[in-house]
Amino acid sequence: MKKILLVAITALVLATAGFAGGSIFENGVSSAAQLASSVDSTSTKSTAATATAAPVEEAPPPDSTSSSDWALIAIEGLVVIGFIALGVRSGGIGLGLWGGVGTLILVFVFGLEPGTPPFDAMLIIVAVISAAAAMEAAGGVEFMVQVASKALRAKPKAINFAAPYVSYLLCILTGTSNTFYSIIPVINEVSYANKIRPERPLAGSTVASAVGITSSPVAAAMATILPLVEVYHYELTDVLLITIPASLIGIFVMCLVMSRHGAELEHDAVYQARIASGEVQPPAPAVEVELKPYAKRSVAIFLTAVFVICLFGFFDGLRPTVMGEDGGLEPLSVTPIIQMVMLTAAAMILLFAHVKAGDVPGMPIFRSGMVAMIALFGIAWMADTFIANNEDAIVSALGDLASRWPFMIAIAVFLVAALTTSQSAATRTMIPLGLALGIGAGYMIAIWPAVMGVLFLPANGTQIAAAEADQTGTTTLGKHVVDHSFQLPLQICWIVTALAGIAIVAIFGL
Amino acid sequence: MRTLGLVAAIVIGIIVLTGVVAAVGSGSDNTGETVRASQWADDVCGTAGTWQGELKDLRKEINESTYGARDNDGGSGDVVEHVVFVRSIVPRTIAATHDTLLRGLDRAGIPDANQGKQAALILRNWAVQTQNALVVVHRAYRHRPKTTSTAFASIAGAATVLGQSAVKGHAAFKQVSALDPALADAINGSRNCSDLMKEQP
Repeated sequence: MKKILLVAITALVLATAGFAGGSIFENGVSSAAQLASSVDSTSTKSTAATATAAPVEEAPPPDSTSSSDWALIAIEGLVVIGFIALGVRSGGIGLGLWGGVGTLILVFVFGLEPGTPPFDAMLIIVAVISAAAAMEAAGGVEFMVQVASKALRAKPKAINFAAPYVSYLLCILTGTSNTFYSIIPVINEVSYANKIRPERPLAGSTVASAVGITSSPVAAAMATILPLVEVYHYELTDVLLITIPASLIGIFVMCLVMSRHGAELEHDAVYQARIASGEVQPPAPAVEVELKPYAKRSVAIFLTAVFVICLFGFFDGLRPTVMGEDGGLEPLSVTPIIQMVMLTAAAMILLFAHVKAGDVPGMPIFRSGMVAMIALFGIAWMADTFIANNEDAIVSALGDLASRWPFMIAIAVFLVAALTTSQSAATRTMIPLGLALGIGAGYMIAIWPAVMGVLFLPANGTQIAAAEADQTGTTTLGKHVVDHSFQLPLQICWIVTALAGIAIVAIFGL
Repeated sequence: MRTLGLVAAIVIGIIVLTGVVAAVGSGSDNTGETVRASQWADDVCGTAGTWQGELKDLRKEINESTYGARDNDGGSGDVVEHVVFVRSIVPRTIAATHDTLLRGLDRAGIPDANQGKQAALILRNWAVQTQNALVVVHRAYRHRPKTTSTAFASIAGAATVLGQSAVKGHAAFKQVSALDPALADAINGSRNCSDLMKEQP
């Protein structure tokens, strides 16, 4: 049945891409030319006293994409998809290694300029896993699991709802889904200890952290959309009044579906095979766990670090200022703050929870985090090499699609986010286009959460880290690129959130 | 069977979403058509305001492109993972001018006034002149500058074009207002236009 999902989604994407690509080959009469010629023909007859303006001829925009260029882009795209497929089949660091091979081919065979590896995300993973692994070495993870298990005793499945909303809240407070890395090990361990299929809360939380961007007053994408809609009298509060309730509804429906998704852990074939091979140990009953002496202290330090990051994220006045490019002062970004605070937390755990530095790299969390980092390195580098060289053509094609059929704007926003793996890029390119097409600003804001389409391909750090953290094998990056664990919650969440947003705008006249 | 149901639900969801978007905000393409002057004023001022917003975003990206200052939404391909070069901004301003400003002005149609076509043409000419000037700058400096002076000249070229365009934009709207009292009333009565005119060129 997964094949059906795969075929349906692939067909939709290919049909849309073909639609967009084909439409730009057509030589339609420019609407601008129509207006210019109509004005030209009548302006000479004008008897108005005012001076008559003559139409100015439009210079051709630079670097239009030819059909041979499109063929090349398609081949490069197939190379990227092929190596992602090889990587996800290989699993673990194989994802990163095959991504590296793909990058090599794109650069040496196709002559593309190398893109940029996702340094920020990689360094955050390193910092967060250092702190989480130190906490694990101190016995803190076991303590957290024990506490959470007690809280969830009556309803263990509540983690399927609680985890996504917590990750959503963290993202709202800090303006970046990079904070989500810090709770991935916790969600995984708590769900596993309660015999909940880890895929459910992990995949749901990953998607919730992505939708949190459009509900956060301090996110980069929010800073991008505000100047675009302010002329239509939409301030930050107006945007949040649409996106937050819509996202809460979208996440709830997603959690509802996810809480019933997949086989129960004890019936999952992949998990049982891993248990049989000794690759993973069954969860120990909570009562049997004997806590290490400084476990609570390590948890306190770790959670304080997360709280401090939230404080710095939400109140930019607390942050030190750094020099901007124009010589002015800007508040320090949250990204280096996450890295600094998490490394400091790791050091404090070593110091106050009496953990030996040499024990930290031996922890399972450290191992899975490093694998995730290497996987992200290769795969995101390859994707970025393709995107950085072809972004204008991709955006132009999908923009053309939306221009011809404005009702396709939501799908176009989703696909641009998917193909650029950037919420900000999708916002800055597609939102103005939608507004220029005459779609109301309120409705464009309602559609905007479609930028969570960044999770469509398994090339994002949060997806890779979540999949690598789950030792049961239920959270996967798929075998056919689009059939990963995050696809179902992603599709449900963006569609429901957009529909709920539109309903909010229509009902409340926002 | 359950997966099939989920696939069907997703496909239906996409179809419903597309239908809802078509119903509530499928956009109004009034290219070449005559529309009420008040609606036209709202549309053209909204378009110009969105275009200005794009330029503000570009300015912000340049200002905050240092490692410490730039924000990151968390996407691994996020644009903020990259260093933003001033040189790379020029093609983006051309795209913004073409896709948002020109396209939006065309779609706004022609105001229902004595000098309606003339008014639409004045604004369109302003947009085309801005785009053409940016294309000239791009052609001159599309390759990596070989000397420091050329690099600075490329920055100055784009900045000058955009600075002049902002001034000319305000002048164009004033010229349109002067064409016909009905157009002046429409522009003065539009909230979008009053907000746009508050911005200093």
